[in-house]
Amino acid sequence: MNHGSLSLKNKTRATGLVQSPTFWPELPTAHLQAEKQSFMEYHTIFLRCYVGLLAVSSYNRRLLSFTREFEMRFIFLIPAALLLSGSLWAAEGNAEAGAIKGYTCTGCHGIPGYNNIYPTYKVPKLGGQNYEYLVSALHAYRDGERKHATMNNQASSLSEQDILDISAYFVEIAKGQ
Amino acid sequence: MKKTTLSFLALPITFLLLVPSVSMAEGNPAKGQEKAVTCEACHGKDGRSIDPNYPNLGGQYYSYLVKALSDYRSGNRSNAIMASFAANLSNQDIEDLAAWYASQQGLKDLSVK
Repeated sequence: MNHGSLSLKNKTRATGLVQSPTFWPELPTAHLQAEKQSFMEYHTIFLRCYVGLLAVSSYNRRLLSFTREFEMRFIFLIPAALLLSGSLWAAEGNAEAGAIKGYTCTGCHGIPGYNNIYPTYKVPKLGGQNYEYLVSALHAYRDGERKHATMNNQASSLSEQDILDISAYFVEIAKGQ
Repeated sequence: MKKTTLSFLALPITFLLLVPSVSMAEGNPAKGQEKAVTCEACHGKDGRSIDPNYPNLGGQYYSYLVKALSDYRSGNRSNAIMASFAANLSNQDIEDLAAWYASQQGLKDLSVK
């Protein structure tokens, strides 16, 4: 029995090695994002129901008692739903605002082949880079985790919304190319 | 007269010949592709990463990629995942990998309209 379970373990390990490394359907982060998404959807559906009920009951008085009952049962969800809908708005960067806020960036990142000096290397291309990566990179520069004198200075003046907007702009700029 | 002009030109010409050989000490993209099997698991076969948390590398500048990998190896840039991968890379490995990803298509400058 013990031997059997051991061999099974070895088998699963072997198939894990045989699979090509690109064959990874579920990443732990992707799983988390999906869960977060469904949680938010659940709350926004609740909020829509509530707003709908309020609107309908303002026309039909008989439905008001139903709305009040709904409120009594789910009142603890209202602040959470409002907060989440707020964070949904804030979590998105606006590429148009980013184009204005990110104009300074093009002074280096917008000149093809522009060199960083000491040490000499080309300033990275950012058009078409991934949104989440750009946000995390700007956070790392702002918090001093990633060191580059110019980038630390530039990022230190950015608000949370600025970072999201600028990142959205960099994603947007390479679309349709 | 001819001798003097030749001697004037000799030094600049030798320098001009030397300059490209110094700056063109680039890696081999084909060898980089062979070495990039581990990288592909996250950064994708074509330099487009499989998850938005990881950067796209296709079409990135060669010298920036060399800098980034060297920084991960030295600990100048800290990332738990990249530190462990970069720790075992030689200078030649870094140059080959950078040449491979620089040879791909994908990233653009912000000058595109």
